[in-house]
Amino acid sequence: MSEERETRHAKRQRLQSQSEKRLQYREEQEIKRKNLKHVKIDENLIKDQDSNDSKLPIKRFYRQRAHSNPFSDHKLEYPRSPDQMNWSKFYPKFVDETTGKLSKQVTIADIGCGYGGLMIDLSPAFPNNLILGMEIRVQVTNFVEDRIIALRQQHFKEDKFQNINVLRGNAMKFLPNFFQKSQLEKMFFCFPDPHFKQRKHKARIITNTLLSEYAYVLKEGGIIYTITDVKDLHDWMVKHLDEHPLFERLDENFEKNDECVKIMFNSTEEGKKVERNKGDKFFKCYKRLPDHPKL
Amino acid sequence: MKHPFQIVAVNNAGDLLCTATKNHIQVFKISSGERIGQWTDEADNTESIKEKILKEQERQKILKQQELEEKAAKAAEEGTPESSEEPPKKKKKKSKNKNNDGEPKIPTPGPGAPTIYNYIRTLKFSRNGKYLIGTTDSDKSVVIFEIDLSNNENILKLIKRQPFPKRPSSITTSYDDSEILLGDKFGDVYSTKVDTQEARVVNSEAEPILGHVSMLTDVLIGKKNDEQFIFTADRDEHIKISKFPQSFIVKHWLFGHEQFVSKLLIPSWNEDLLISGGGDDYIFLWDWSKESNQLLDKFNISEIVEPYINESHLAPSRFQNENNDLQETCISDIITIPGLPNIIAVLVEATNVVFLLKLESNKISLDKIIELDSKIISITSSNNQIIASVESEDNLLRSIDINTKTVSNELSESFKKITENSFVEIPSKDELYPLYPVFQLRKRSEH
Repeated sequence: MSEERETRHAKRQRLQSQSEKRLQYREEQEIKRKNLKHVKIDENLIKDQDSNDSKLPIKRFYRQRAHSNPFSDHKLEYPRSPDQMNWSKFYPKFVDETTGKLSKQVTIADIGCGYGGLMIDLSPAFPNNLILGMEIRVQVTNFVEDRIIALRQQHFKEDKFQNINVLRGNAMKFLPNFFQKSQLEKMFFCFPDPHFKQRKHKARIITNTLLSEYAYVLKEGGIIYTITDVKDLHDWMVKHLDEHPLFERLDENFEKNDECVKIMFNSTEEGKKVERNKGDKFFKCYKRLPDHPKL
Repeated sequence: MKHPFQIVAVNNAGDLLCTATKNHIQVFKISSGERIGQWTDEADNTESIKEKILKEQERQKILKQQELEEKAAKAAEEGTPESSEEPPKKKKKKSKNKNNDGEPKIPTPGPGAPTIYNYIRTLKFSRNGKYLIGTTDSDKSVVIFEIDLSNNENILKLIKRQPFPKRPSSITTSYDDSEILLGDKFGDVYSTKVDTQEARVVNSEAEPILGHVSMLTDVLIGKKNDEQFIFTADRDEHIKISKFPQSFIVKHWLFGHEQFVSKLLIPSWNEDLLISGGGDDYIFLWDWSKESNQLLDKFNISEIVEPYINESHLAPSRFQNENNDLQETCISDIITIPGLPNIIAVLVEATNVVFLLKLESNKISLDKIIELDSKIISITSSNNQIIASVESEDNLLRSIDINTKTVSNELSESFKKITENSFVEIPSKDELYPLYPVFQLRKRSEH
């Protein structure tokens, strides 16, 4: 009896110390994030800091429940309109020093970027494109921010990972607040929340009504990439993209030769998990057609 | 006491007044006050819930059946004795469940749950005035009436009742009145034909023609060079313009609101303009036909509203500031007046004033403030007057003369008759249906 009580007590203490550790870790990271989030990382900055500071974040301290309701009124920060979005703080190395403005626009978006694996692999493949990840879960977004800060610090000499960043946002509601018409070249939807229940289907990230909004921010010829391990969701996404008049399915030839397909298939955390569990991965790519397709 | 009219609408000819009170629609002759049409929504929403539950039970049964069959088939294939024993066991369990099922239980809200009101949420005449279109909360339907003036008993002839999966919150008709577009609480827009054909089944798998991921508060159709466009406004400050009928092509968004948008208006005298209002302090004026720089003017109404604010505009205690003086106003209606071009009438919810605003060379300015003796619930207009439904005991309507821009007593006798002829009575003020629902659209994000 008393032994059991003790173990229970010990367990409680262990859990408590774990959660304290996590809280402490989160606080430390938050201070670091605040200081470094939007600054240009250069030699002077690195010199002042001990080597410990550029460590990659530890994922288990950022755990959060996997789902977030896209319909609820979260306290989100979003610009009034795309004109009012200040992108330069997200990509400080791309700011033109003479004008103080960003020399490029974001052209690749990873919607629901999760832990950011896709962006990190896309970064070296598209060094001249600005890539943005959008994620609705706070802790996961924090993780990606910390990850990018650490990567920028570790690779400051080569100027790597300067073209990627993340923001917390609800892409289903506020995508047009961030992007102008025809701004994007590529949009990724990797392992989205499957929302299995039928009455939750409207919460899926691909619906015929949302596709019209994605078509608005995508330029003609721009590409939507989808991948999932849930067959039912894959069928749903293919059905809706097939039916939408502004999208056209790309063939196997494209899939074989496209670099992004390879990266998408191999890189995301979710994708790696599926691989470990020997699950299937389903993907399809679609091209944005002109508004007045020739009939 | 007589229940105040929640919605009033005048037809194009200006001789009929249509009203919505609780689940009743009544039509009155404005000149005499005679009631010439009426309809009561008798749909029982517990019936539809019952139906849903029965359907779901049926679906579950079929699913279980399928699962069992699959398992049985698998077992038969494998032919192992162990697995062949299993299915019968489960079947027994299931049959037990079946016996327990019986009548579906209707979930009843517990004490403290918010009251469910089944009322007519929207009411509008079609552009040609031949039809009256409303939406019901009970079964989330659009109801379409033909106005049959030859019928002396009741001019309202219900020609269609089309249910939808989510509660409709706004309606409009296409230019030729052949189609109705409706926006719902889930942010989707559906279209339905104005005809006598039987309502089709629109379930949650049906595809809306366009959508937001936020409750829709208003839907309009506008025209530019013979091309039609759909305007949709939502609780997330968005106004979206899409083509019609190719609703999958988004023209653009109108950005500027910082609070929910509750009302859109395209004035009949200049269809390139769009006026919008909602939970913020401004009335917005847009030239929507342009590709960029669409915002023409923002008119601050907070100053002119200030003297008419009352305790009902205080923010709810949970969201109140330290001094307890945070006041929140919202625009509940913006209308044009057929006899007064370049003037719009604006109603701020739960006040007793109508603001007349002037639109001149793309600027908005104050024309006149008309104060009534009671709080205004809904306004509508005809060639010579604005009719307001008010929260009052003896006479439920007021008239504002358009030429003098003052409250007129000319019709007070027939308005008194209308009040008398309205059959919707309640024992006391506690039984009132919500008269000022727009303020609830304000977003209260907490995390």
